Amino acid sequence: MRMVKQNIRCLLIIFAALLCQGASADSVSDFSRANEMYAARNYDGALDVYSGIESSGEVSGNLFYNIGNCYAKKGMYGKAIVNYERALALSPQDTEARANYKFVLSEAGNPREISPVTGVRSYILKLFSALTLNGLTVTFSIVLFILIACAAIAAYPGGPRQIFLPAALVFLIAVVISGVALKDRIDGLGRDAIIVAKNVEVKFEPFAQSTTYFDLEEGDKVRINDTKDGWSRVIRSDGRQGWVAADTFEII
Amino acid sequence: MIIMKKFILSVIAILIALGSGSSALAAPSEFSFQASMNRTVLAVGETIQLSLTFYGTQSVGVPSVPDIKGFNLRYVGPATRVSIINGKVSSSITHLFNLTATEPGKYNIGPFSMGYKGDVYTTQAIPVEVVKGAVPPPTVTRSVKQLPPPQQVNGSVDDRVFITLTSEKNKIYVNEIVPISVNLYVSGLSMRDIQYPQFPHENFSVNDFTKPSQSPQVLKGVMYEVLKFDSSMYGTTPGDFTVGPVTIQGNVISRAPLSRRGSIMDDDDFFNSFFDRMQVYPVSLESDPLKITVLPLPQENKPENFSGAVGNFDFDYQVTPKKVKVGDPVTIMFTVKGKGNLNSVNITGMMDNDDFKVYQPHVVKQEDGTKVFEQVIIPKKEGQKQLPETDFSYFDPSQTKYVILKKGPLQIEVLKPDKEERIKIIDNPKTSQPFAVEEVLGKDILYIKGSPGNVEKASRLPFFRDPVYLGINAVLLFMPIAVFLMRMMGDRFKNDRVYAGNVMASRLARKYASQLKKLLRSQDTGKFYDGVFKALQAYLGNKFRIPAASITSSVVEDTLSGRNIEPEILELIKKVFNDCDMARYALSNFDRAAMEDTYSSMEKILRNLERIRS
Repeated sequence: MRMVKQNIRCLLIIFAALLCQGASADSVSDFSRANEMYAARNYDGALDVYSGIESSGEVSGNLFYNIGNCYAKKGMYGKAIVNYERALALSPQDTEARANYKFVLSEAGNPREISPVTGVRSYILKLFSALTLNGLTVTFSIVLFILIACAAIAAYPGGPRQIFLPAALVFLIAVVISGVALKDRIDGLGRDAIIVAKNVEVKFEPFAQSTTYFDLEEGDKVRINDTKDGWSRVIRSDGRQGWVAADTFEII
Repeated sequence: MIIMKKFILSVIAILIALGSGSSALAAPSEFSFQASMNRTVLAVGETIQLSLTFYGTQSVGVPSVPDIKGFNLRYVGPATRVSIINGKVSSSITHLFNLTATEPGKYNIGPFSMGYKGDVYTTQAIPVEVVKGAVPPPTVTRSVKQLPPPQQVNGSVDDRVFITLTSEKNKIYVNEIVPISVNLYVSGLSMRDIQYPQFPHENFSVNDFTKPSQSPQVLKGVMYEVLKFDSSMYGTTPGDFTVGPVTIQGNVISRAPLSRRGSIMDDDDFFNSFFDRMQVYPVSLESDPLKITVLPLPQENKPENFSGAVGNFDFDYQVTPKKVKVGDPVTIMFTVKGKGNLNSVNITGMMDNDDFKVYQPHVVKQEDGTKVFEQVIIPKKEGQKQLPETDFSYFDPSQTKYVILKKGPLQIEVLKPDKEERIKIIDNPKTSQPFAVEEVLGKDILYIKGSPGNVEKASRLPFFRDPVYLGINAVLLFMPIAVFLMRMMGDRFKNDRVYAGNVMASRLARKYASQLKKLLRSQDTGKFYDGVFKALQAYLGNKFRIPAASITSSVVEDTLSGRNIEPEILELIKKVFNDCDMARYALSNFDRAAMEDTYSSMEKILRNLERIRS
């Protein structure tokens, strides 16, 4: 029993180590300096410093929020939307980031989503919207562990099946629901992008002379399906696909 | 044929009886007795219908009608009716007679008398003319547009459905209200989908028509159902004008006889009408126009503050509260009540002065012959204040003169305001600022964050790709399964002796094999053979669930026979046991080669016996 407790303690420490990391002193200093530039309306200078912190490999929801603010002030709504999306991915419960995100969306003319989610799936995604990707992964693991434990106890001959069999069914549903939400997040990871250029022409083939199929507006959300020679095949909300130059969008 | 007729009449009688029964629930209304004909001009040989109707009851038997000269009389039957108009229930019974003309001439049908509850009721006489040949067409004074085909409607439609427009007066003053009514007369037909009357009324203001009332009415000896639409109007400009004609749209329902040939009932009028089918025709009825003269109001003796009110009114003037503080609002109520045109009623109200801040009067009520104005004033100074006398004047058309009504003055007491309380400026919400101004809020992004917050390494893999996380997950997920399997095995070990013996034997086999190999290497012959003997005993004992100590070379064959052991292995077991016995007594005979031989025999035995399920 004592050994089991020690093992659990070790696992918790590892989890904590995985989850929490602090900012370096340089990053904190640079962050403050960039904030001062922002306050002085020097948005380009602030962006340079914020981008430097990002390049150093230390990121946070607040960092992307401030970068989004800089772009919003510069009227570059596509880039602002990308950074608010990044901020919300890291801090989904940040109400200020959500408010600014909505404001910029409306300023950009409410651009299109990748595919409007409806029905039960929309409820499921909304249910887990307050969790980060890692939070959702941990939730899925916990629910799966409880499901297996309940199933094992229920399957044991002479065990308390009346309690643990229904519990196993409940957790099976929870596993399915959280699994759907997790899959949705994983599908979009590294593939969901925001159009950051204005009036982007989407081509039938991956070169500039190709026929234009349709146009995308700044702030439109697309999913990248393929990349070739500086061109990426994107899919938009109505399912239409085409090729755009790689510098016209940014991955979230 | 007679049976058939009787059957149908019985069915009709039952239906009529059911109708009568239901009418018993209706409340009784005033009794009256009327006679009517469906036509008053007919040709010799034609049949007209005489209806003797008793209103207010349905419990009147067949009246005795004497023979009528020039006609053959035949009783058709009763018809009952219950109607509810504006919540008032009325019932009636009509006894129908067919009169077939036999001789030309002018006749009076009736009068008919009937006793009911001790009183005798008498109808009017109905003049009827019987002509030779075809009936001449009637004079048309009203038009019916889109008539049904003449062969499908019996008689003249103009006489059976028409409308009239009437007013109480044809000479009125400007702004004088005059009641008007539009009557829709229907006889021998049914109308439905009747729309409200419409008519041109330039230079007149007309109120909406009320909900129509329905009543029977005899006109020139013919019974009509009359639908009456009431309204009122007033002239806005003096002059001679024409109002109307009024039009009413609706659908006429008429019987169209079925073409039947050789029917068994061809010779019976009752069945002819019974088998008629109903047809619907849209009609647009139009009345005669109405000539109205609108007189100007007289200039003689016209009051100074006359504002156009025409009628007969009463006037009241009140103020509340009568004791207020400076700055508090006071309400003056002007009430005009009576008969006449309330739309033309207006008042000037109190004028602005040094003592009061005065707001414009406004109408707060106009219904049921009453119009109420409200005026808010705010006292500016303390003390006993007087609201001046006020008057209201109107023109009374019945007396053809102007009337001035005076009220007031009124007293109010204005007190000092409280010391802490400054004079309040109260705006009447209905006169000054009727709507709240919607606050316009600014829109922009929220300010930046002051600290970096929870910082992460961008290069760090997400959990679902992190090998450490996945490893921990694998361990955690396998734990319940492992525990489950171990518990299952433990339970079997406890409960299954065969399984437990086999498991134990296998474990011992592995253990002793390892130990014997060490002894073989050390070339300790005595310990080696002693170990071989004990290992073989323990293994066989566990494997075959027999006491290990009882197993020796002498009992091996008896003990192990019948346990699926190959004879060669059985011989080998016996040989190993014998070698062990020999080694105890003649140790020097066993060198390393013999020990290796025994060890390999031992291995062969264990390998073979492990394959056997004991």
